[in-house]
Amino acid sequence: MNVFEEYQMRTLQSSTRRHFLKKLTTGLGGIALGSMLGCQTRSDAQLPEGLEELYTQLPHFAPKAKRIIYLHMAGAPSQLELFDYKPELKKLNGQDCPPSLLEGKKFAFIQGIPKMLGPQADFKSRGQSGMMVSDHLPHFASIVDEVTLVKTMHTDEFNHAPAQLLLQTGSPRLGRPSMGSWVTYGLGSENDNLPGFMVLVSGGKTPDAGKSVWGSGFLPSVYQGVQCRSEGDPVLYVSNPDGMDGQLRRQTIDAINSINEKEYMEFGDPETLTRISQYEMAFNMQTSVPEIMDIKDEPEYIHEMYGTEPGKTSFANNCLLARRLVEKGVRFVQLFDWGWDMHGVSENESLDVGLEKKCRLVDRPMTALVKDLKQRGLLEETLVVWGGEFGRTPMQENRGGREWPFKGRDHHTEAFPVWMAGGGVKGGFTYGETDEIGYYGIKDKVHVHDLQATILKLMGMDHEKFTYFAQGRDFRLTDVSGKVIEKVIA
Amino acid sequence: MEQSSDIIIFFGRFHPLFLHLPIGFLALAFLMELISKREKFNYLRPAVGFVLALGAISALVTAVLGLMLAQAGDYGEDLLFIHQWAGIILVVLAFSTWFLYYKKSQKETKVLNQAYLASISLMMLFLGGAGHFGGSLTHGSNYLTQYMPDGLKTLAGIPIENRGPQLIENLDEAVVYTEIIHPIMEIRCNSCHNSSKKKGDLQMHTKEALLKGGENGPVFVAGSPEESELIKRLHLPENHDDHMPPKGKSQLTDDQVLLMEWWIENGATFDKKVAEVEANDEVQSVLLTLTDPNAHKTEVEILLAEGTSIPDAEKLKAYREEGIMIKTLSNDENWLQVTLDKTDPVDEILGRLAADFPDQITWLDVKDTPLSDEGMEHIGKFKNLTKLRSEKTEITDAGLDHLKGLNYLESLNIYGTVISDEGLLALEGLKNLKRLYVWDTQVSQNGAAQLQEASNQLEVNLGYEVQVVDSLTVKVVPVAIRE
Repeated sequence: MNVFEEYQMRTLQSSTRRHFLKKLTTGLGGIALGSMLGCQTRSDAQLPEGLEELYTQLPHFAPKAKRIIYLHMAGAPSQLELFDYKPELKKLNGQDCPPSLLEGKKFAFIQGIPKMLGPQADFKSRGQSGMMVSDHLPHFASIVDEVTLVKTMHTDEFNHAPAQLLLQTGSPRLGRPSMGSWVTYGLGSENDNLPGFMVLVSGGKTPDAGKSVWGSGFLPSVYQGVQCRSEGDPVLYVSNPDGMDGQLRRQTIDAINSINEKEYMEFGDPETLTRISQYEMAFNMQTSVPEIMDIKDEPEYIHEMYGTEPGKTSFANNCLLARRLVEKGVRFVQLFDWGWDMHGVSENESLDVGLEKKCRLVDRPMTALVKDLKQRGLLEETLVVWGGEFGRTPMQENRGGREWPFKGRDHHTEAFPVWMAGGGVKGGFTYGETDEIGYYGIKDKVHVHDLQATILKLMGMDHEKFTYFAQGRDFRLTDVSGKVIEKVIA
Repeated sequence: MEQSSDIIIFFGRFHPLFLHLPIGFLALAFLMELISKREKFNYLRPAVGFVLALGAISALVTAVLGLMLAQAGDYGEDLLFIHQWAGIILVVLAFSTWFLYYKKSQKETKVLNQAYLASISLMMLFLGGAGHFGGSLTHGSNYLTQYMPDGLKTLAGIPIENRGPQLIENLDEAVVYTEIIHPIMEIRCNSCHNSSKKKGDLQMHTKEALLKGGENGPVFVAGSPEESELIKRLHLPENHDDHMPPKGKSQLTDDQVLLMEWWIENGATFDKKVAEVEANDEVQSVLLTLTDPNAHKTEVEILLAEGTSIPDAEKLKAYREEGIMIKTLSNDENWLQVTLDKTDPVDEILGRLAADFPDQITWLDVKDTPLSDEGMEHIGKFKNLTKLRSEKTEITDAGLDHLKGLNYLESLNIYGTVISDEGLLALEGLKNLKRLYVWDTQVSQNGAAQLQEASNQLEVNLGYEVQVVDSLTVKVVPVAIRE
């Protein structure tokens, strides 16, 4: 028993917010004085030591997963057409939404009293586990026994950008490090020639929240996601310009690095270290990236499996690339696929046409990814996560108070699905139950922070202990909440 | 009338203030009496009477105030009775001691002397007693000993309470409430809901208290966990004000919540035994862990949980300086994981590792390296190896022979090697083997099936059989040799 620590704990426990605010009145002056006198903040110059200390504490648990592939369906796919089978809703189709469901609710577009909209897809029981999966996903149906389906995710934000930020960074506002940054910061990379956190985007647009969803926030920028393109140069400006050969490039980088080292000796800014390692990494990436991003050398049956076409930008290509990256030891591969926002305002944004089109582009490759990882023995140590940033309403969207020619659903925060495979989660397992119309979770609700806590746990980290000191306090991915869902862990 | 009783309590509340005076004075008088026996201090003796007088008078005032305070009725009656009479006797003893002192100073006799000594000693005894019971009255009777270290408790003869869930020996005969439910409440509820502390006017330490409920009504509705306040609150989000136990306190595990629900579902009985209560599979499996915590753990999980000896730090450091990735599975474990690179002299390094850490290495990753059968011989010495990634290496059937003794091996990856059915024979005795990856080898479907037959938990992965035709069709040709 450490008496001093216990004393500290008890003191902290007994000081309330009120105490804090009371003390703040004098404290603020002190803080101001401190900065006027030019006090150093803790993060300055001590970072490398801090990191060393961190690495002696991590991982907190033996990891179940060593790597993550996160398939983020930006725009939020409809749970009611894919994973959440609601026959009751079918019966209510076309009826006015009861006011009890609308009271005190805010929607992005729904106005007045909308009509209920039955499921726009048929479902069947799949695999040994009998998981109900929509006919839109015939390929996925063959891997349900590898998958844990969480049906009761919920979030705090009903617009894309803040919801994506909340899911990926733990906060709906800009400025926090993304999950991939946290993980690579905590566990490092297994490959010196590739960034630990790589991002691949498909669907024609980057996510609504922009590149902040893979930003490093206040963590050193070496941990931010590196976006790769599957068309043209995989990483912009990584190849040598005409007239510059590898040798000359090496000498240039050596010279720049030695200047930067002097700079660091003088000012101790950790961002200088980031810059040095980024130059090194960029040099290594000149050979490693083109090599890994070139999927032409994959055998024909692999292309058939994924539905890949070398040289194009597609979710399929990105899935195959994701496998190649984790095979090389990349810690966190983040895929974003844009175009799931089925409001029903046009053919491509509708449940009757657009959704099926989208599913066709995604179903085969995501299934191939799980199967391919499995036969390589990688699935047991790689966590695959699939999901959007929120769910969709059981009511039909009536934007502008009118009826639309296509069927669509509005944004909905209270219930949406996420599935996970490999990396220490159960197979053929469904967690959580939603009500009869898929509006609310009624059993085992999972908040976005709970999912983050669970992912960190699978990677061997305790989300409450894994912190970073910035702007005067310790931060964590899960902010001040989050509970590990032990039941999904195999 | 009401007015007067209020004023009584107003004065009564000065009792805790005044009571320190007689304690101080009387103890001081006793102390002075004691040390004035020594010649050096006998000048103190004349003052003892004065101090005793002060003590007796202040004791009287305190006692009166105490009697007034007792009118408030805030205190447990049994303890109050003892405290009250101990206090009254103390006042009497204080005055009689003072009186005897006065008599004695006028004319000292042996009898007077003895009576005085007896009186002052008794007075001290009652001073301690009245003080102690008074303290117990306000702070609770275990206030002093609650945080006493266990060792000291044993010395003092205070029983060390074994609270909380204990291992159950005979599950069927165990009474559900007494041996399963009550112990959970004991460690998770009773710190705020007990005989002396009743948050929300609720006590949960006995059957009667549970049945009585608190200010928000009954604790449970027998037969209906969904309607039971207890269960509702357990399920509220931890941030919710009504969640129990409150945020920051140790929470019930999911299993414990399940047991609570099961108990209420089945009528919340206080005398039924486990065997008399229906339990579904989920509950059954949780119940099993009450008799044996390892009930649902595999041999490998038990091994890893048991831990291993500390690896030699100097040697570890040397390997790391050599550039070899060797580290513990987690910060508080001694188990080691090793990853070797294709540029490493793998066989030679494995030879050294087998000599240095034969017990500790449990995860080994030598994929895509020039690993040969010689290296496999060394790998065979890692007797606690649970995961081996040796895909895309130069090993042959003969190499697999060395794995025969690896009883804890759970996952073996040998895809992309020249291994054939013959090699797999060596794996037949590995009873903990669960996952075997043999895609892109010489292994046939028959060979895989044969091995799978020998073990019911083994899953052999032979590679593709992606069939699903449509929604953009797919029919990848199976890669494994089919016969």
